[in-house]
Amino acid sequence: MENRNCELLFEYLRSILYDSEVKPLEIDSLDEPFQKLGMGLQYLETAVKEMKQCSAALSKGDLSSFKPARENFLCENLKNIHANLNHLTWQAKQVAKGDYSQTVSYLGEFSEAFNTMTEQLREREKSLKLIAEQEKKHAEMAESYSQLLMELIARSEKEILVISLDGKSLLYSNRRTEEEVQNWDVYKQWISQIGQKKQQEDRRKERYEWKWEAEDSTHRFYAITTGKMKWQGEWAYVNIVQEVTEARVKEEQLRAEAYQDMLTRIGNRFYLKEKAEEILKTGEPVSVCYCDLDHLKYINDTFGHQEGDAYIRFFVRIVNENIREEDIFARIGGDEFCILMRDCAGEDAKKRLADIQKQFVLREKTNYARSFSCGIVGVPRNHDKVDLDTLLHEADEVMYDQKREHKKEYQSELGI
Amino acid sequence: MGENIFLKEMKELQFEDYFKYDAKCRGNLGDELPVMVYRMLEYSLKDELKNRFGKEVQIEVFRSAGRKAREYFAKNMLDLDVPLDQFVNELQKKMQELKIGVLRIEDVNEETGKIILTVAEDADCSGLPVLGETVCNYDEGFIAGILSLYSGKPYTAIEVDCWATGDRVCRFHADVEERSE
Repeated sequence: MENRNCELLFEYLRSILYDSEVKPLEIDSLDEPFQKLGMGLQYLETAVKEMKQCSAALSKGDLSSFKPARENFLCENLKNIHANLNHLTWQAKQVAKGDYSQTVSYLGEFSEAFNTMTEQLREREKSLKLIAEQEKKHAEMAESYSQLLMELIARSEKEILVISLDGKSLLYSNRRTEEEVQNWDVYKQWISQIGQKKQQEDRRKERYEWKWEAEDSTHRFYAITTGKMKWQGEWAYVNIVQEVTEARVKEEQLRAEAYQDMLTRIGNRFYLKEKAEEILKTGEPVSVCYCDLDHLKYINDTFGHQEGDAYIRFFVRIVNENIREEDIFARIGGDEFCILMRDCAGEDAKKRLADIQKQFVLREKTNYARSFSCGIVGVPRNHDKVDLDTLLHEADEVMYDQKREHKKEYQSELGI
Repeated sequence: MGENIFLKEMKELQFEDYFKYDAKCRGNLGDELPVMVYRMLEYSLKDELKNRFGKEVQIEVFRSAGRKAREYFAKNMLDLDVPLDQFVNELQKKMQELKIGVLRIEDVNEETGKIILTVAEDADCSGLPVLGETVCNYDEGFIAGILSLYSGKPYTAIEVDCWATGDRVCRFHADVEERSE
């Protein structure tokens, strides 16, 4: 009897431990003394079954299905694991939200690994915050610089054009639209500049820049600095354009005034000197005619300086009417003038000057006699004379002979 | 000796007054006691209260005492002006440091304010056999009190699992109490 009961109970215990489907134990099949043990084993079967179900759920991470009976002592450690997993789930969610203050206690190697991870995340966050802070400061600084730069550009009289390397696209302009730029004749000159510069360009000098000037169809002048720079990551040409029309006009005016006689609007001594040097260097034949108005002092003293000025202007008018475009005519003193007759032989010059003297004397009646004295020095082709002062001195000497004659004639007319 | 004027004029004793003791007074034995001594006090009181006033009164007294204790604990040992995550972190550290238990959060519903938390190795119940009912009523008051003080909302905490009910941690459901208008 004992053996049979022991056999049934042992078989039931084996089935509890090893079978996936436990073979049930019929309590009635046991004899009375073994039935209590059999009921104890049946309770064990329930506890083991529940433990297996709970451990299976936990092994799959199914935390919500884990509901072992409170009195199931076999599940006590699983309950601990379940509580820990619940807590770790919440901690993982906290970390995902950015709460890196989470730490895990009393879970051995896992605690160490988790705490290292959150510590590193904290460090990284700190470092990223620092970088973000620095970048924010840089961005704010860059923004303020940018605002300052834009303000300066807006206030600047200079025009800025950024054009792509191929010259086809306007990348930036503080004044003009792309269409306006494309139709601007300065842009066409720029294209030509770029073409020339590309041939000369030293490719190693990427920041190479040069200055040049341009004039548009409305005769406005521009001083332009062109160079290369990086624009939004790509190389481009930047052009700083400043209109200099007014300065150029003033410069021209000053230049003209410096070379002009204000009363007669013909060239002065400086003008004569510059032109004479140019002409004499060529070796072409030229006649240097030194003219001196006669009795200007008398007219000034007798009829006033206004009349004296009119006398001078009349002389200039007559000469201008009789010289050629290529001849040079300048006032080199109060009553002294010089005519450079280009490509003109000595006799021809004398003849032309005699004609001028005649017209000056005869044209338009006045209360006084008009005349001028002159001396001509001919400079032949392929000469080696380049000194205007010497030529003028020579012509002056010649002129004085005539002057003396004119004086005698005049004194005789006046009966002095 | 005559009448002690200092004792005569002394104000009525408050809860906090009992904590103004010199921690170095136990020069040889130190500032700590075994868990057994703590439990001896706790469960003898519990037993006495239950026998004299019934179980419901005992539970209410323990919860109320827990709430009183949290006031001292929270005001003196915690920073109540930090964000929730930091507050929980500090509470965990302080509870471990004082060997009250290992506090762990399982869930926080940010909309409703409901919090599920566990205390492992709880000073009150860890290691107890299955008694068929939760026993950590003092902790219920303690936790509810701390959360109320921190959030400014009236929290209640109910222990749903305990060593005494066969679990291995104490699990508390803390929720904002719905006030009747």
